[in-house]
Amino acid sequence: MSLFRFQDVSIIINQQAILEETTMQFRENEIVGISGPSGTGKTTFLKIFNRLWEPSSGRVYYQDQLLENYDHTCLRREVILLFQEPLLFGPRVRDDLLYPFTLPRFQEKPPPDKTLIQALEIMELAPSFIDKNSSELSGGEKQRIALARSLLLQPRVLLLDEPTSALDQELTSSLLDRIKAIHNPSLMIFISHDPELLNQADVHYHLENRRLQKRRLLS
Amino acid sequence: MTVDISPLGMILAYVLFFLVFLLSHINRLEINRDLIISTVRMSLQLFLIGGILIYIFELESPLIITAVFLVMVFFGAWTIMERSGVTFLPIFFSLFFSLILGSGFVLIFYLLLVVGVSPWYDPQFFIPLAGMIIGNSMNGSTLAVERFFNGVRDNRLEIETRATLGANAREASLKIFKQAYRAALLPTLSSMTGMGIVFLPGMMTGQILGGTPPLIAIKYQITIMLGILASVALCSLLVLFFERRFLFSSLDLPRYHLFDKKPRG
Repeated sequence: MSLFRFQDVSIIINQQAILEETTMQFRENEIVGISGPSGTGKTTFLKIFNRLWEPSSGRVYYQDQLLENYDHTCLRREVILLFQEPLLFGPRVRDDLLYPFTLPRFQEKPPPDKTLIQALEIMELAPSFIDKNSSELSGGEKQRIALARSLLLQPRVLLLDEPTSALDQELTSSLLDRIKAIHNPSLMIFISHDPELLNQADVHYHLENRRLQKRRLLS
Repeated sequence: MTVDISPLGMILAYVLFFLVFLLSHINRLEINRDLIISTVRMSLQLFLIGGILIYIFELESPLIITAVFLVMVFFGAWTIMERSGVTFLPIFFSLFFSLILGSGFVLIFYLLLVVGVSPWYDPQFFIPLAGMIIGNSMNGSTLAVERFFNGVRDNRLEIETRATLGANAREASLKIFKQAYRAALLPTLSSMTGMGIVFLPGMMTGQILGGTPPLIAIKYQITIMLGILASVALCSLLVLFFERRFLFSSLDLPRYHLFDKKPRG
């Protein structure tokens, strides 16, 4: 079943076209990798999925419903985008992991410490991290905590913008498995330049010259 | 009892100015132009307002007083827009409206209930108190408007990160909102903290010079400070609510095109 469907979607930023009349779909249980030169608008493309950016024309369907029909704040918790530059709010890692549960409108029960520590451990972070000061962490640590924070919301769709840019080789190759061990989203779309990560995708698109072209997988 | 200043006294005061002028000139400190402009402006503006006040004091009309209040608020709102650099027409209207509501409420409350002035439009009370309340609210609101605008502009990633976790405009900008509100209140709060120890406030000094017993003067000073604090807080809060509405779209994201217009300091 197609989870996301793009119909004649164009994206224009500052009079510059990033994507032209593209029609495509993203199926359930798919892992999609996107590559492409920098500055071609890959991040903006991801923002379309949870309405952090609006397409200039065309329609986007999520579960066969127009994207506009969903409440955008609820949609964003279900279709989470993880930015390349991880941002933690602090003061401590626990506060960061629980931030999404402090928004009163959603009335979701915060997970217990046990679940938080489990998620940290899957991300190769010691349990003691839970009480660490968020501002004192390295880039790679922040990236993994930001990822854990998103996964604790159990999103249906996870969008990742260069998720391994601050991670070492071992973590990079095992990242997708680690994500699934915390929570397995129905659809994962990631932007990456890393051939190893791209090889783990079911589908690989390359964004260049305002088109998303399917690439054959290397393996 | 008030002691008038004689013409000779006025002239002698300007001797002080020439002293500063000469000292700066001899030492080539290159501030002559500013010294002259500021002194001339101050003198002309005060003489002018003095004339207007004499006229208004004689009229004692509620309509004229209301008009004076509106003119003060209008220029206040305009000054906030200019000084904060957030120059959008909707912002000006919301500033105008916030100042009318915030400082108007506090002013009427103070005049009628705290001091018990009758009639409420007695210019001897209304004009100086309105000036103090609007002036302070203007300074506070300028800081609030500027901080919030710059905060939203400079924290795009934070706002979007919070948004992608489900935060709406209010939640995503809460931290910036708090900082802006704090910045607006801080000058008033620090002046309250230093009052009486570090300096004697202007209104109290003026009243004492005018012959008011110190005990009455401090009662006025305490109550007007509470009024000023309330007005600064109310106006800043209203202004920030409007500004947030204006700067964020219905998708709970900053309206980015508003921030691209021109670089700001």
